[in-house]
Parts: sequence; structure tokens; C-alpha cells
Amino acid sequence: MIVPVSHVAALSAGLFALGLFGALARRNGIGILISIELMLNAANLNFVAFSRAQGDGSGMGQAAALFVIGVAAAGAAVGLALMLAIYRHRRTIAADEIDLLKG
Amino acid sequence: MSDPVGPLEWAAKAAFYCVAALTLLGGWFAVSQRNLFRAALGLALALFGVAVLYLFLQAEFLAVAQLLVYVGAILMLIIFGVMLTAGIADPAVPRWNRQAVGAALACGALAVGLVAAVLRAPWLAGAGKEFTLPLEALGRGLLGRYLLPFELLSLLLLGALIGALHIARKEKE
Amino acid sequence: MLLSLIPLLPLAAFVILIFFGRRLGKFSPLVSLTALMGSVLLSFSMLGLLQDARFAHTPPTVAWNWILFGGRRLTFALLADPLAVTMCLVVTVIGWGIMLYSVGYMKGDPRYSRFFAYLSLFFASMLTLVLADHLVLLYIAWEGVGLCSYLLISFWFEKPAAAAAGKKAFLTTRVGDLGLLLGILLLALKGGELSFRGLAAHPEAVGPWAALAAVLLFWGAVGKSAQFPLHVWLPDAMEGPTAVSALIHAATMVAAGVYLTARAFPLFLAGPEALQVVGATGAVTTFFAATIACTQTDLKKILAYSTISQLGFMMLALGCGAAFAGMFHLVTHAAFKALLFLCAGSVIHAVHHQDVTRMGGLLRSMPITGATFLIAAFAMAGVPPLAGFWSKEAVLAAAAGDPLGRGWLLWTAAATAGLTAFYITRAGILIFLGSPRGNGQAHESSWTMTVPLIFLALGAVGIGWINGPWTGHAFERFLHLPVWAAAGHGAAHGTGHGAGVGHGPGLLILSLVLAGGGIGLAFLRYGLGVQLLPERLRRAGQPIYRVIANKYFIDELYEAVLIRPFLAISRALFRFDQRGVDGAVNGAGLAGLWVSRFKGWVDRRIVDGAVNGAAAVTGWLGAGVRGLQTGWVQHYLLIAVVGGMVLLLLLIRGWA
Repeated sequence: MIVPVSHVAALSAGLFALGLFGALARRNGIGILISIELMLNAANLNFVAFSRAQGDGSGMGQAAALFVIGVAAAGAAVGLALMLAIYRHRRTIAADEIDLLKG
Repeated sequence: MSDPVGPLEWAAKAAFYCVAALTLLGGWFAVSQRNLFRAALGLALALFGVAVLYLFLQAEFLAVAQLLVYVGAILMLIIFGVMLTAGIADPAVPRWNRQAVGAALACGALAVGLVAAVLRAPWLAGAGKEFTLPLEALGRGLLGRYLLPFELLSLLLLGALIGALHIARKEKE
Repeated sequence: MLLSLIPLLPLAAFVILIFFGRRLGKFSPLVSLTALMGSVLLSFSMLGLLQDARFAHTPPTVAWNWILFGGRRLTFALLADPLAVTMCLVVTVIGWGIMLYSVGYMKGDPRYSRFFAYLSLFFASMLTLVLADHLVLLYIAWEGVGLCSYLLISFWFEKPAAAAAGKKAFLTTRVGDLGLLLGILLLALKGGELSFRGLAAHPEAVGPWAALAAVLLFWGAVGKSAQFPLHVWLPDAMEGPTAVSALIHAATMVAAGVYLTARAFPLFLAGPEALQVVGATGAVTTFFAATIACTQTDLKKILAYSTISQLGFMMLALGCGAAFAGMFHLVTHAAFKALLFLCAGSVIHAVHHQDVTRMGGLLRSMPITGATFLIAAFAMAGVPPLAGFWSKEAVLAAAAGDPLGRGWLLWTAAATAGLTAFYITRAGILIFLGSPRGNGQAHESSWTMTVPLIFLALGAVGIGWINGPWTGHAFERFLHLPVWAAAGHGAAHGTGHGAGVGHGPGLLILSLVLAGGGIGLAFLRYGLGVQLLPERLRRAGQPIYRVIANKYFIDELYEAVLIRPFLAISRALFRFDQRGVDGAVNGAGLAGLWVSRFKGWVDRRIVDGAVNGAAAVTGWLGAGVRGLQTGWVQHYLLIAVVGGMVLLLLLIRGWA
């Protein structure tokens, strides 16, 4: 590989942490979705890098990445639909205002 | 394609690190921009970057798939969502929620920890050698060993489709 | 056995009349008269049985077990020995006559049937008393007659005087009954015999306690027979209907004391000191009552004090050891005293008042009543050959033959005999002779009242003859009572001439002089208006006269010394009860209230506090923990992330 796999892994860790921060700290719901997509991508990067660094013949890493992309798509779709529905009802998509389950 | 050698090697390395930096930058925008459209664009940058990185890692199919699906479809979807929900940018509304500081600390700690752990870990100390996957193997795998997840994924997508439709549709008057 | 029917027939009559009296109304007397006639006939048949030689030593009895407790048993028995049968005859025959008299006397009374019910109950109790062979059974019957006396004295209880008189009678005899009870208890505790047959057989069983026991029994007799000092109830008892006075307070109930003494005579003989008490009491009573009788103006009161005096006369005889003399006088007295009372009733019925000073000349308008009254009066005065003469002579003879040689008894008896003749003649003259002082309009009573009068008069005339020398002193032999021998302590029986009738001509002359003297003086004073005492003596005697006329102020004395302090104590106790006992009860209530208030406080503060506290703590904890449930997904996510990092750290470090 061009660079040591640890560097790629570090990059992916950084991307993941960024995404996590956004998921935790963002107010906007769609912002949170964006952050989640970022996290998923970071995971994907890890999968691919490690399968390149020491893979098996069946292509498990890349297949996994593909599946993750598929699931991410489904998740994004449903999530956005949810955001739309919530926005319609509550005129807001600020995550910290949607606390109906507050105990 | 395989790794370049010789003088192209360090150029390639440099390019890699640049793309990596751009990806991080995109990620930072995605996370921090108040204006959601800009955040979406940031995400786009990050996604593009990741795709290029896939190329660097000789996963060409995945790069293309990434571009097609993520950038082409999911990003569009996100932008649709952004457009459809108002409040793209409102200076009065705070960007961060009240646990932003805590989250920053936690994620910062996570990042530091992970990066440190990863960089220090003795990778490939033992067996395992670099390996470039032929596309044909991926294809065989998807329809062979990983057929079940593959099919389930299609079911999932179907479900998500129907579900999203149902959730998002306007109520009957 | 038939014996038990004698008291049971009147008891049945009582029960019938109590329940159905109101319905029977005018026919109520038929029930009681029939029942009592049954008792009369049965008594005569008992008499007949006793004449049979076979029964002379073992008289007919009826026995039953009353109580069995521990290993002991209480057996009651009715004994028809000569003494008992004599009393039965007296009670039933004279009683029947009086009952017939009451039919007319009580006519129109709103509680007519109740009267005959009470009379029947009285007869049942009296006959049981007389037939009883056991002291406890006698005591029960004793109380029974006391009850009937109370009921009948206060029969017209709407009159406050009658109600008070009934109460007085009951309470005063109660004082006496206490003595009787104590005597019975003493006998029981000290191993004495409680049945009369046992007493006669073993009078020494109770040892040195005989005298005390006898005195205690005698105290009961003092109450019932109205002896001094418990005599105060008898004059007041005159508030009752005159028929009641005749029956109960002349002939029968008051004789119960004399009868008891005669019955328990073996006990008295075993403790001769008791006889001294008897004699002394009798002597005092007889004399002092006779003096009062001379001063009274109420006809019934005269007769009441006369009764007291005559009873004392009997006791005097008993105290001299001559039980027969006492009993003989009891029988004759029953006849003529009952007659006197019934005549009095007849007179009162006719003139509607009882004051002899307002009567006079009634002989013309009430010949039968007057004649029978005079017969009875002379009988009591002791005019031969009327009944009283014989019995009075017997008593005087007994006094003369006193084994202890107490001469004063004889002189007291003699003086009383004289006084007796005097006062009864006085009464007779004031009522029937002379010119009318009242309104003088009187009529003779109906046959239901006069027939008994005549019948009793016959008795008053003839009863004494059963013991004359021509019958060989049959009555005395029949009764066969124990006699106190002159020398030593032993008891002899029957016809010991030491105390029998006929102690020489001296006594005969004495009694005739007394009778004649008394009658004569009364006639002089009241019939002819001759003043018996010179002017000076009369004036000097005025204070004495006033004391006597006021009954020696005994009632007033009792009132001041006994009754008022007793009532004061009662009131004090009542106040104590109110304050103390009620105070205690209220205090207990208050204490309960405090306790419950405290408990309520405890319950509220502590118990509820604990419960509420638990709830509160749970609430705080919940509220606290609730804080975690922000409903904010990102928050949860952060927590999950942090938690995951911690885990990771632990894993890496090898601590988990």
C-alpha cells in the first residue's frame, strides 16, 4: 500500500470522531443525519483499508462496505422521511426539542 | 492498478495525504456548518474524498459504487431534505446543543485515544500480506458466500422504501 | 304426701289468682277460700292421725333433699307433730274465718283479687313455717311471711302512710331476721342440729354455744313478734286493712316468734341463760305496751299495743321455762284478738273513722259486733269461764313457778293482767256504751262480716276448755312440750306440775281480782265518769301520762339515733359514688381519651411519617433518576459513547 494501514486507520478514526461529535452536538436533525453518514463512511474506509492490507479471497471487506452503503442508503431514506414527518408536525427539527419521551 | 514505485511513489503519498486532509476538511464542514446546505456540501466533499481514497486502495468498484450511491443518491436525498425543511440557516438558533462541550470532550478523547492506539499498534507483525482483490472475486463473493446478506439488503431497501413513503406522505384531509 | 298439700293448696290459689285474678274478679275469694278450706280439713285429719296411738311418737313427715353440696346435704322436712298441727289448726281455722270476713270488708276495692292472692301466699308461707322441721326451711318461710306482711300492710300504697308503714315493718323485722340468720349459721358452724327433731334429740350437740345461738334465734323472734325494742313496726302496721291486722298482726304471723321459741325450746333449755333474756324481754315488753294501750285513742292502735303486750306475756311464760303456758295463751289470744280486730273493722267500716273518743253508744246500732266485742274483751281480761282466763292463769302460774325464782316476773305479769283488763274495758265502754259522741249513724255489717264474728266468739268462749281439769289437761298432754325443771338443768317433759296449771288457790284468787279490778276501775272511770285519782295526783301525773301517750318517744329516739345518721351516711356514700366512682369512671374515660390522642399523634407523626417518608424518598429518588430520562436521544447517545469508551479502556488495560 501507498501508506501504512495505520495511517488510513487513523484517518478513519478521526472521521469517525468528527461524525460522532456532530451526531452528539448538532441541533438540527438533518445535520445529525449527515454526521451519521460521515461515521458510516469512516467505518467503510476502515473495512476497505484492512481488506487491502490483509484480505481473504472472498472479498469480505469490500462486500461488507457495499452492504454498509446499502444500509446507509436505507437509513438515510427513512431518516429523512422521519425528519419530514416531524417537521410537518412540530415545525421544528431541532433534536433537543423533540423530547416526547421525557420522563 | 498497482502501487507506483520510484519517484512517483512520494508524489502519490503526497497526493494521498492531501486527499485525506480534504476529506477531513469536508467532514469538519459537514459537522460544523450552521447552514445545512453548506454542511451537505461538506459531506459531499468528504464523500468524494473517500471515493478517491478507495481508488488509492485499489477498490475501484467500491469507489464507483460510493460515488454513485452516496454522492449521487444519498446526498441528493439529504439536500432534498434540507430544502424541504425550512430553517437552513438561522443565526438566532444556536448551532450546538447543550451537551456540545461534553460531546467535544468525549469525541476528542476518543479520537486521541483511537489514533494513538492505532498508530502504535504493531500491525502486520505476524502473517498477512497485502492483497488486491480481483473484481471477479467480489462478484463471486456477493452472489456466493454473501448471497444471503445481499438478498436481505434488497429486502431492507424495499422495506425502507415503503416505510419512508408511508412516513413522509401527506395526511389525507 | 298429703301433708305437703297443707301449704301447697294456698300456694296454688296464689298462683291462680295472680294470673287470672283480674278475670275472676268478684269470684276471686272463692279460689282462696276453697284452697284454705282444703288446708283446714287436712289439718283436722292430721289431728285425727295424731290421736292414733301409733303416731304419737313418730309423727307424719314429708322430706326431700334440697341441696347437695360437697359431701353435705340439706334435707328439708315437714313435720306434723302436735305443736305443728296445733298451729296449723289455729292458722287455718281462724284464717278461714278472717278470709270470709274480708270478702265483705274489701268489697269494691280495685285490687280485690290481688288481696286474696296475697292472703293465699301468706297462708302458704305461714303453714310452711309452722310445719317446717328444718331451721333453714323455716327461715325461708319466715321471710315469706315477712314479704306478705309488707305487701299487705302497704296494700293501699297510694297512701304514703301505708307505704311507709310497710317499709318500716319490713326493715324492722329484718333487723330481727339478721339475728335468726346468725343463729342458724352459728348452729351450722358449731356442729349443732338444724332440724327440730335433731335439736330435740341432741340439744347438747352445739355445746357451750347453745345460749348464744338461742339468744340469736330469739332476736329473730323479737323482731317478728314485735317485742321491745323491735316493736315499733306493729302500731304503724295498722295502716293496712283491718282484716290483715286481724290475721297477721294478731293471730298468726306475730305468733311465729313465740312458736319459734317453743319449737327450739330444747336449745334454750341447753343454754338456760337464754331463757333469762327471753323472760326479761317478755316482761319489759308486756308491761310497757300495756301502759301505752291505756292512753291511746285510735282503736286499732289500742289493739296493736295490746297485741304487743300479750305477746310479751307469752314470752314471759316461755322465759320461765313453761313452753306450754306460752303456747296455750297463743292459741286463746289468736281467737280473741282476731275477734277484737274484726269487730274493730266492723265498727270502722260503719263509722268511717277510728277515734274512740268520737264513738259511743254503738251497741244499739251494731248489736252483734258489740256483743262479740265484749265477749272478746272479757276473754282477754281473763273472766272465767272464757278462754283467756285459763291461759292467763297458766302464765301466772308459770311465773310463780319460775325455776330461777324471779319474783319480779310474777308481779310484772300480774300488773299487766290488771292493766289489760282495764284498757280493753275502757275501749269497749267508749265505743259501745254511753251516749253517741260522733254522728251516731251506724249500721250493723253484712253477714259475711258478722258470721265470722259469731264463730270466733264461740272460739273465744270455748277454746280454753280443752285444757281444763275435766279433760285432764288434755292439751298440755297433747303438746307434750319440754319443761324447765325447777332444780338442776335437765329438761322434763309434759305435765310437770312445777310449771303446769294449778298452783294452788292463791293464784286463782289473784287472777280473778286482777280481772275484776281492771274491769271495775274502767267501768267506774269511763262508764260512770268517776275520777279515779285525786286532783293533785292527776296533775302531777300529767307529764308521765304524756310520755306514755307518746309511746315513750321510742320512735323519735330511733329516728334521731339510728335513722338520721344512717340516711346521712347513705347520702355521703352517694356523693362519694358520684365523685369518686363516677370520677374514677370519667377519669378512666379521660385517660382513654389521652391515650388515644397520643396514639393518634404517634400514628400521624411516626407511622404516617414513616410511610410518607418512604414515599417521599422514593419520590426523590425517582425524581432524581428521572433526570436521566431526558427524552433526548443525543443525550443517551453521549452516555452510550462514554460508557463504551470506559469499557474499551478497561478491556485494553486488562482490568475487565
